[in-house]
Amino acid sequence: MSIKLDAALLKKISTMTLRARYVAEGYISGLHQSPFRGHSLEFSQHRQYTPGDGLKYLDWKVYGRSDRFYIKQFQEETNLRGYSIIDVSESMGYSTSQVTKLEYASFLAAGITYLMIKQRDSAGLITFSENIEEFMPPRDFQAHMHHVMEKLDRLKSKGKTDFRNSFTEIGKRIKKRSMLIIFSDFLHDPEDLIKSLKFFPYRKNDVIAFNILDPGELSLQHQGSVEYVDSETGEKFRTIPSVIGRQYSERMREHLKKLEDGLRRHGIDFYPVTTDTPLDRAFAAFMEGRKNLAV
Amino acid sequence: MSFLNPSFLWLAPLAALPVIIHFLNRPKTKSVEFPTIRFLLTATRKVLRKFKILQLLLLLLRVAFILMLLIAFARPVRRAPLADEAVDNIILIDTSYSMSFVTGRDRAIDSAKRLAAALTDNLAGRFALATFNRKLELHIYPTDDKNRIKNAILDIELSPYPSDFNNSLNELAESDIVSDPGAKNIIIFSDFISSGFAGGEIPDIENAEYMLVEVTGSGENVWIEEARAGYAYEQTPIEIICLTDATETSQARIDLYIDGERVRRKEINVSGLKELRFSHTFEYPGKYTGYLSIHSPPEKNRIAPDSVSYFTINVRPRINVLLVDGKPGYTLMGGESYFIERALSPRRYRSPASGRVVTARELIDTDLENYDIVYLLNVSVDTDIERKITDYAASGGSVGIFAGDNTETAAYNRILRHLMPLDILSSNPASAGTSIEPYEGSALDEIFSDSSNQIEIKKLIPASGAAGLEPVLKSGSYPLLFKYPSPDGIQGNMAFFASPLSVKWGSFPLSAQFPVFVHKLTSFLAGRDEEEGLLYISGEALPLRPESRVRFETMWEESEADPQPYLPDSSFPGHYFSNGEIYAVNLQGGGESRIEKLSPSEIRRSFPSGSHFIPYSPSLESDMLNAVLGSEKSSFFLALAAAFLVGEEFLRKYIKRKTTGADQ
Repeated sequence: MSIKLDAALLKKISTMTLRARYVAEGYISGLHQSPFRGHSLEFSQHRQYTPGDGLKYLDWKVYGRSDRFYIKQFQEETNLRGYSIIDVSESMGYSTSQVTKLEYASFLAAGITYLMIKQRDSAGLITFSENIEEFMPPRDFQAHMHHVMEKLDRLKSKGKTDFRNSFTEIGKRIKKRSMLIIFSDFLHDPEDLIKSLKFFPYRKNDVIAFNILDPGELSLQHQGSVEYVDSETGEKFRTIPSVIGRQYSERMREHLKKLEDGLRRHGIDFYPVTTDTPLDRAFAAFMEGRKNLAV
Repeated sequence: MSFLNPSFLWLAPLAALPVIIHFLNRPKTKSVEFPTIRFLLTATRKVLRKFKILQLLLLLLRVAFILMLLIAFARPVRRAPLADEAVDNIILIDTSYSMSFVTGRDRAIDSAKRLAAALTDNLAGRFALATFNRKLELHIYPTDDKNRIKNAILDIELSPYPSDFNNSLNELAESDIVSDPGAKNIIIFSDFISSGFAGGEIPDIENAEYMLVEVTGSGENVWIEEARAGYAYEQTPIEIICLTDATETSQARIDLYIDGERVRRKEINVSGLKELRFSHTFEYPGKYTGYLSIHSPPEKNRIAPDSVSYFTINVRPRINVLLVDGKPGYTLMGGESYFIERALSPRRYRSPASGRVVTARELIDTDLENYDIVYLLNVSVDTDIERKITDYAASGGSVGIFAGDNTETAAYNRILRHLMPLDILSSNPASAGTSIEPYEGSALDEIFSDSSNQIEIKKLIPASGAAGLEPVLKSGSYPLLFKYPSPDGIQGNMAFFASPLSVKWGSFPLSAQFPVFVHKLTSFLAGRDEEEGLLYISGEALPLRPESRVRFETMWEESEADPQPYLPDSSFPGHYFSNGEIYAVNLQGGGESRIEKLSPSEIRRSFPSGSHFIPYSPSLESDMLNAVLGSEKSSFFLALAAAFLVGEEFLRKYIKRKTTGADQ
């Protein structure tokens, strides 16, 4: 029986490094395998071909000699650059429980960073709202990991989100063939979002979008008359949640569906997650998705 | 609109309670920081507008519910003609003798008193009391003392006099009771029989308005309009026709009762005029009373209990007739007896008379005690026959003589002289044996002019409808019917026909009138049309001519013409309704008359314009009272309140379903 790795519980752990370790190792201890199996010039071993394996890695020499199909496997990847890109706008500070969306995003980012550096991949961190707030280029040494963790631990939500501006800037500063793991609530126009992100896959970037939402955003849980204040714009709107709840939920679902379809159409992995989801489960879902892609 | 419990209207502000509760319960708006209101804005506008409208509707329903409930408790009444408190109410009760008629459970006067007392209880203002028949009798001048009025109403009694509206109301117009210049309501309780209006116009009293309350008459909407029958003889079926009328479709049951026992029942749907026929056969002669009653569950419609039509039938023994054929033929239609026998006992019908045919020889050995009438058809008489017939007539038997070629004048004058008032003449020599002229014109004149001879002579020829009777009508051939006290002790009735049927009457025996003629003759000879005192149904209508059915041959006397001797026997229904007319029974007197009731429109026309008329129904006195006072509409408002409550419940659940759905 596994222990649920609750984000609220994890928040009590003093350092982000330790939190990241829990998140990452909790997953690894279950798998005993690295999900970041990549490509390398250093040959590792052969294994028998099974239907579904890419023909690209068939060892034709072995086939010529033995008349059997074998796949070449390589040592762990050493040249993976990963960026955790976290939306730190005001909307990410929303919470109906003990953990804000930003905190949840930082835990996930910490876990991924920890795992990557443990595997000797390079991990970096970018935070943004209207512009890039923080840019830490990817490195593969332990001291860098600690710096990233410190940054993650001190993240505060502020300002509006400007995806277009932020990602135009990010596009200029990151290298090709990088892995971009974006953590945001994506509560903006899906068209605009997709436009901002779609060019990354064309630059051979592997883009993963974590859509982090609070459960209170999916369905309105307030009673009576409520004046909602937009956390980013300060706009106010008075309404009765119980009356408009159904329509609100429908609009939210439509938005998420539109967002997911648009991102997937452009080769961007989309992971919707709410802050009440146990972190290990969210982490595992992500890792499983990545493992299936890796060969 | 006025209210019987207006104090409840003071609670009208309670209707604002839902509004107050609504505003008190209005939740305080709390401010919540939210990631984005983008989706709220797109979702909310249309839904919120609809929600607000529904909330408003809910509020209105709640307010309306309370209002309707309060109005219902306040007992609203439709604005009534007599609702004004500022007027004097002059109660005028008809005490003429026709008010003794029973209308369902009570006499009309009882209904009038009950209604007047109830009206006094429910109407505001001062009251005066008067009664009238031929003239007005003032009892109480305008007073506020309702109890005094009510006690005086209870003490009112019937008079033996007919009503005279003109005279009575003129007396009222000239009396002190209306001298007060203020507005007055003259509330008249009467049966409004037409004879009461013979005196002239009804005075238009200044500042007075007439309220005419009918206290006798037909039912509310269904009644037996008329009950008729054919004839009533033992073992002879009679047909009683019941006409009903209704202004609205209703289920009804009509029962025929004879001597207190129900003998027929029919379930009908009454809508408009409907004719029902009941057939009943009386096994034994006697006097029967019966009635037709129409009934329907009161909750389904409003048929009044006075929907009863009474009748009495005197069922008489069948008339046994002996036909003595003096010249029986060998063919079916060859003899004299054929046509009379067929007329007396038509095929397929049970006739009130039955004929047996014998020859002259057989007559001698026949016991005549069993026969009411002996017809001598072209019989040649001798001493044996003479003795037999004379004895028979002396004991009350009736004899009808049809002359013919066997008839010998001298022998008839010699042998049957005791039976005839005068000698008959000799036969016409020119056509001997075919025609006998019984009396010359002078002899007839002598009979008719001599009042001392105590001879009652009837000409049996109807005044109209004589088509086909021309041979009978020719001079000297009148069939004459005699009834006279004979010095020789002759008791029976006699008839003499000079012309032989087969020769002189041409096709008359084949016509439809012939059976009528024979039955009328038979009825006369048997003495059946001379009974008095009881209603009976004569044999005038015959099955051969069902369309000739006639109404009761009743012995009525107008009740208001002579108040003294005709008190209806309590065991005998004193009246019945027919065509909206009341017939009173006179057990002692003779003749037929009827008391006519005026129709509502005639009653209204008889009174000054602006008069109100309330038709009567014994079962619906409360409705009548409401019609006078104004009908109470509480139930209507209660129903409205219930409807609003149901609507509120439905709307509340609808809103809840819609709003809680958001949380799912």
